[in-house]
Amino acid sequence: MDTVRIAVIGAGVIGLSTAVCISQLVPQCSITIVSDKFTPHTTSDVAAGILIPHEYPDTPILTQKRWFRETFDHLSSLASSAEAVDAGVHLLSGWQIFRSIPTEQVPFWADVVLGFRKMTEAELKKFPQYVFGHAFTTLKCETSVYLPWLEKRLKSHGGLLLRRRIEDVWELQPSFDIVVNCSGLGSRELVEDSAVSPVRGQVLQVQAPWLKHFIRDGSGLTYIYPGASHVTLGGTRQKGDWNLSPDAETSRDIFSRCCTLEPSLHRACSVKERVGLRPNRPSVRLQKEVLVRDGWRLPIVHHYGHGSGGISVHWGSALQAARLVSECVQALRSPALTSKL
Amino acid sequence: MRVVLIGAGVIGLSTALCIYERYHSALQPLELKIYAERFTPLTTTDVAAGLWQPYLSGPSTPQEIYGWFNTSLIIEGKRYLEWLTERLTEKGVKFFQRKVESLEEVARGGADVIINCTGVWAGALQPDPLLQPGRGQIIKVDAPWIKHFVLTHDPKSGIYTSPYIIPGMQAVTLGGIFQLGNWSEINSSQDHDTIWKGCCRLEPTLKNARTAGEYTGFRPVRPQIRLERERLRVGSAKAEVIHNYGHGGYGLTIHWGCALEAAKLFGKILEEKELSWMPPSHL
Repeated sequence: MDTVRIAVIGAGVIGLSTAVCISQLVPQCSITIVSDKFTPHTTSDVAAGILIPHEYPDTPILTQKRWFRETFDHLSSLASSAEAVDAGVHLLSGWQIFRSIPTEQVPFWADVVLGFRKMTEAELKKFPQYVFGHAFTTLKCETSVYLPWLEKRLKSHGGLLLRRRIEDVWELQPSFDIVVNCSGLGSRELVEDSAVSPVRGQVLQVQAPWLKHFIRDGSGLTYIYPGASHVTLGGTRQKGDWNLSPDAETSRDIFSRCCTLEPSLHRACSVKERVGLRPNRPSVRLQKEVLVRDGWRLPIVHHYGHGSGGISVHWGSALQAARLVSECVQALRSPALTSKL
Repeated sequence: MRVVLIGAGVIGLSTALCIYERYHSALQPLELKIYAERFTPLTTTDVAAGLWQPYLSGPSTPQEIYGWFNTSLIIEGKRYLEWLTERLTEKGVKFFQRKVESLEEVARGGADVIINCTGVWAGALQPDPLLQPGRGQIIKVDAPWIKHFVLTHDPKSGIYTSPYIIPGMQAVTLGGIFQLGNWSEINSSQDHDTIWKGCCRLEPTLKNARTAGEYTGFRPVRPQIRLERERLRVGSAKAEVIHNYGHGGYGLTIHWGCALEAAKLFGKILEEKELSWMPPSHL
């Protein structure tokens, strides 16, 4: 059996987790991550990494639920293991609050997280402008720790990391047999997909170690996520905005909104501003195809467009992508058995 | 009105604040002095993790294995005592570092009311066979990824003898030691191992945690809190005493309610004194 050479474009949470899943599923393969940015400079690094799914309008709910459950279970075992700190995963409890009663009072993921229940009147008193809420325990996956940990796992299985900006997927041929496209927002140019567009998010990272609960406004615009090394305050959802520089006015606004929810934040210090562009898409593109040019064939698996929900569904989504890659590998290894495209 | 309060742990300082807030305007002048041998960070309160959790009362079936989840409050002893001290200082309450040998000494010094919040050492001022030290030892570690407290209970061995993990504002407190009658103020390496093994079994990630300190404290254990008045008469000196001690391992949990109760007793004393000052024709 020849070693299949696989290139994964993109080193965010999707690229790295897909690579790890492939290494576990496909025998006799070499994996190289090719990316212009690596942690801590990827989009994933800006995300707080809280596991609360974002709904994709064009992906079936059952699929999203499966991805979320698989991700939750995977990170749950990590969180209970001695590796939890090295992987940057820990449990976090808190509240999601609403200014008016939502049409969907119990979200599709309620039975995946732990201890999901509606907030009591006494609990809601803490948030005077809110009338309804959910209380539950979920996981936080600190990307600035998780991504290096995934890189380490990959390297220990012989994976390689290559810093290079790819302008055309054909650059990877003939060095590689299969390309896995996890380029996130980069796919807009790389594979000319106009369905993927940025949703700009600005956050503040502050020191407030006394906070032990997350607080999230149901709209997703304002949130407080305490982590192991800092608390993330957010945020913004600016569609079509490509600006990667933090805006001072926006920072003041985020801080003010968060202090309204949690007044003790007035004592927070050491504020860092960060910006990330969520790779928004109506559905996650998880698809294999074979590109043809001048008689050359290049199998490619697309795996991008996770918007706000990347960390929440990454593992389940990566497992599915790895299965698609496995099918491509089988097709390569037994060409006589493959059916027509 | 000269009031001397003995003790600067959570019971002492909260009782002082409660009494001051309720009576300083009614009593001009109210002179409130706090005498204590130890101040924060050397009080028993400073060692407590500060989790608000009333005692489990009643036996539980040994066969049962269950758990519950609740959101509670932490009152961090050290920070809270600092805050109480700031509030009291603002109000003009004076602090004196001194070891009081007897209640009589304070009465002879001119105090009208003495408030006894001496905790586990109350027996030195007045013998109390019901009061005993419930020695505890804790390890403080840096483990900022831990955002939940974990308390375990072993009904066979009793309260606080089973491992617990309580994250605080800066550090995480690990404990599980309760030794009745043990006055040793030295950290025991055997207790250290007991705590460490028990807590690591509950939370394996603790192996990544850096130790920030290890402390011993004596819970002022008593079958019930002594919260009552006593009239003191020593020769020519007389004083009203309010006792407020013996809060075991739940002092922070219950302190404000007790302070309010002590303030009520103080109010009663004031009423009685007023009656004795009223001219006879008003009786």
